[in-house]
Amino acid sequence: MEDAVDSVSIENAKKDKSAFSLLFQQYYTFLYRYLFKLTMNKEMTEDLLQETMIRAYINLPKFRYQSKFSTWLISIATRLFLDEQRKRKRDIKRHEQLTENEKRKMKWELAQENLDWSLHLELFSTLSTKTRTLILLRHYYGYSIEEIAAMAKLKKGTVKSRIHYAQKKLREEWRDEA
Amino acid sequence: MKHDDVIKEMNETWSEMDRKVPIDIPDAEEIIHQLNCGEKRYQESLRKELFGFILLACVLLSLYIVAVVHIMWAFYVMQFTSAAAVLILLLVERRKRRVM
Repeated sequence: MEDAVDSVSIENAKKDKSAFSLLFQQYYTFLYRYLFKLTMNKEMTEDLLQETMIRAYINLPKFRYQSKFSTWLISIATRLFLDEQRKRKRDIKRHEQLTENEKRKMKWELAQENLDWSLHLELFSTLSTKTRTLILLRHYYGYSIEEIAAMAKLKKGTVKSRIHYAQKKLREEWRDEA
Repeated sequence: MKHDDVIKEMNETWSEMDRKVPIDIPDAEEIIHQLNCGEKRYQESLRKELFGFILLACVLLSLYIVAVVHIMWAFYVMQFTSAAAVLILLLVERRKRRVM
């Protein structure tokens, strides 16, 4: 994907909104899928995606090709998602794991898209928001620990240990369920 | 990166989700419209932030003047506090990449 988008289109997008919209369209599906996996909610995904787009446009002049453009975009989306969760948590003073109500909503959302709420999703939903994000970035998207640490603004050691303990927890619960 | 069974199966679930979730990509015009609205919102929030900062600076300055006029040692304390505040502010702004 990255090869298709050269620095010329990024440089054009820095100066022109139409060029930016064309560039962003190429990454729309990629970001939508990522955010949907995290939120499992269509509305929230679309809101976060819109906010990601605006942040990306405003901060694009600062993009210095130190990472892939997709990595840069996913970092913005990740930070926005984590900030949003932090705000929500502060508002309703709930604990880190998903509430039954939220799970029900997720299941309903997935059913709308003809997707099943599998045992894996059930296990995944027992993890905290931050840990779910880390596991997804590490194991599904294959980002390195360093990249994830930069994205989530955490120390490398913290990322490593959180992923390790989450995997351990998933493995144990998987064994119990199986 | 080693993948155990749980992760493998979870990845399969994600792949299936990727295939099934329908995505409507907005057209260029809609994106531009969203960008214009977003930009306005962003500028508004920056303005609010700046207004808050100016207000805080005014309050602190008033306190500063009142203190240094009435208490001798307060002058030195306030000098030190001001220097520290400027330094902290610069570090914060540098972190936000607004200054070099």
